[in-house]
Amino acid sequence: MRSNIRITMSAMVLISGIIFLAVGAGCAKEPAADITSARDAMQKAKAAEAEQYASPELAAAQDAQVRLDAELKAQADKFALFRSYKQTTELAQLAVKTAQQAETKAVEGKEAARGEAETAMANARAAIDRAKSLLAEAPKGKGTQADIQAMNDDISGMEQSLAAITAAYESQGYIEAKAKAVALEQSATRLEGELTAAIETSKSASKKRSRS
Amino acid sequence: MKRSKSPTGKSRLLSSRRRRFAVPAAFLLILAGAFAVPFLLQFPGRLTEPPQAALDAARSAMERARSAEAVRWAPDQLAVAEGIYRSALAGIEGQSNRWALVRDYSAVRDDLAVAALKARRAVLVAGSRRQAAGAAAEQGISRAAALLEEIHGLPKSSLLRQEQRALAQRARLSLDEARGLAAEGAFREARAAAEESSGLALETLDRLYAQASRYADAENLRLWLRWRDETVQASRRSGGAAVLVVKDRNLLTLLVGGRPVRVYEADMGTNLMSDKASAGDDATPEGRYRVAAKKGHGRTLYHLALLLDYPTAEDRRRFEEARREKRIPADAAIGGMIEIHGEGGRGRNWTKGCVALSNGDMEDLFPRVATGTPVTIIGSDGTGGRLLEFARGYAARNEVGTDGR
Repeated sequence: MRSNIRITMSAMVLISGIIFLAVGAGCAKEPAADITSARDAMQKAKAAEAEQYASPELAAAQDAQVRLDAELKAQADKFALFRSYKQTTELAQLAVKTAQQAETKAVEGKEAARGEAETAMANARAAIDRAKSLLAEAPKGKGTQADIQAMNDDISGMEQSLAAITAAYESQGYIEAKAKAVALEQSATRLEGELTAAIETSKSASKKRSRS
Repeated sequence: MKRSKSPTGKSRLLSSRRRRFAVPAAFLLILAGAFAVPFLLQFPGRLTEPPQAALDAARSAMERARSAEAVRWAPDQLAVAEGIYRSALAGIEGQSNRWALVRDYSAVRDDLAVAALKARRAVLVAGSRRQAAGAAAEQGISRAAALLEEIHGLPKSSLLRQEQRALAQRARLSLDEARGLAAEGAFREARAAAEESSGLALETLDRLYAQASRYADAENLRLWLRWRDETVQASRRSGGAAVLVVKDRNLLTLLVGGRPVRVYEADMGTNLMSDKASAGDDATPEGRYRVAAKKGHGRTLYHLALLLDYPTAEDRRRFEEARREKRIPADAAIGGMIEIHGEGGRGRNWTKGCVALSNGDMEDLFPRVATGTPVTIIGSDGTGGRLLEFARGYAARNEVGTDGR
């Protein structure tokens, strides 16, 4: 009788051990792929300069990452048998989603800044070209020679500034390039105005002379 | 009555059956318990929610702080708020994984409340710093604009030297950039651009002062006033005409018998800052001259002209000295053909060194002077000229002597 009981108990211990092991191994699996995806998505958002172009979205993604890390730590601190990674998976997916949103916003923001910088640079270029054309039309003589030389120097200075702006643009400093290009356009437009006024004055003076 | 020590057969059978089922039953109970524990630990955790209201309030405060550009204007305050908020988020995850009976959100609740407070503080700090930065940017822009205004207040031709014009142009460009950045709320960058503009404008003014200081130089002024007085006296003694030209005031005065009879506006050489040193420097010479020849209609391109006897012996002496001291190139020429002529009245200095009057004024002056009439050209008479005022103002502001020291 006693040996029967011993056999039964041993069998049950063995079976329960197998069940425990199976359950333990089955439940304690970390969602490694989701966690890696979350980290990769965060890296991509940062690489897309989300800090500059999508700061609030990046902060939300960082919040999600913090929650994910805390959940992972909480699970790691538990006895293996009691671990559950359902919440971890959900948080990892949330972290991926928010980081991707930050990346998308950053890419869009950067693209918009690039477009604005390009437009501002094109406008500046056009204003400089207009000033150059006007300068070519300006009447030349003893009275205007020095002014023309000075304005030529102004235009050369503007072209140098435009080259510096282009360098800033090429190194992806779109916000800086836009601000400088807008200022350059204003300067070129001012010079254009000065030239137009000078040409008008010169024309009316020569008309007066020819009448007298 | 004594109990029997030996059990009956029926009771022994019962006892044996109980023992046979008691062990497996106990084992099954333990097993069930072992499985139940994780569920007991997990299940109630999903029932007890974290402090949602506190979480929402903190989240909302964080969002407001981020929208208020606290990351830019109050990064330290925002970092503290974010640190506490994220610690609370981590705390929520940690607590939610605990068994319901031992779960405690009080620390999390406190953290969320503190995070919300810190975030609100970050909003306030960001607001006040943004405002202060805006004011500082505006101040910087005003200063740069005032400096550029000072440069523009000078005769236009004062900036004809290429490096000065280039500096002034860069200063203007930086000022425009500062204004654009300020309009977009980028106050720090705007201030930096305004400071760059001020720096460039100051450098331009320094260089201009280095040249214009001669107009306020006491020794020069003494010499020019002596020439003026001698010219007036000579005219008084002879009773004849004399011409006095003050470059800094763009004025030509006709004296007869030592008295001024007519004052004309006059355009000078584009290089107003300097005395004539050599041919091609576009400066009007300073000195005591005489009309060497009168050129009537058809003899000059400039309506009417009075040719001066530049260079005089004194001009030649100074020219040789400048060449010896290598202030001018060894192959420089002294130049000539300095005239008082027409086609002027343009309101700016445009000649190559001559003095130009409007044709009407030239018609008026021409018959009043003769060959040999004294013509004295001075830089300043010590009153009212823009370069003189600039030099004196600059010297006073920068506490330097009018000789530039």
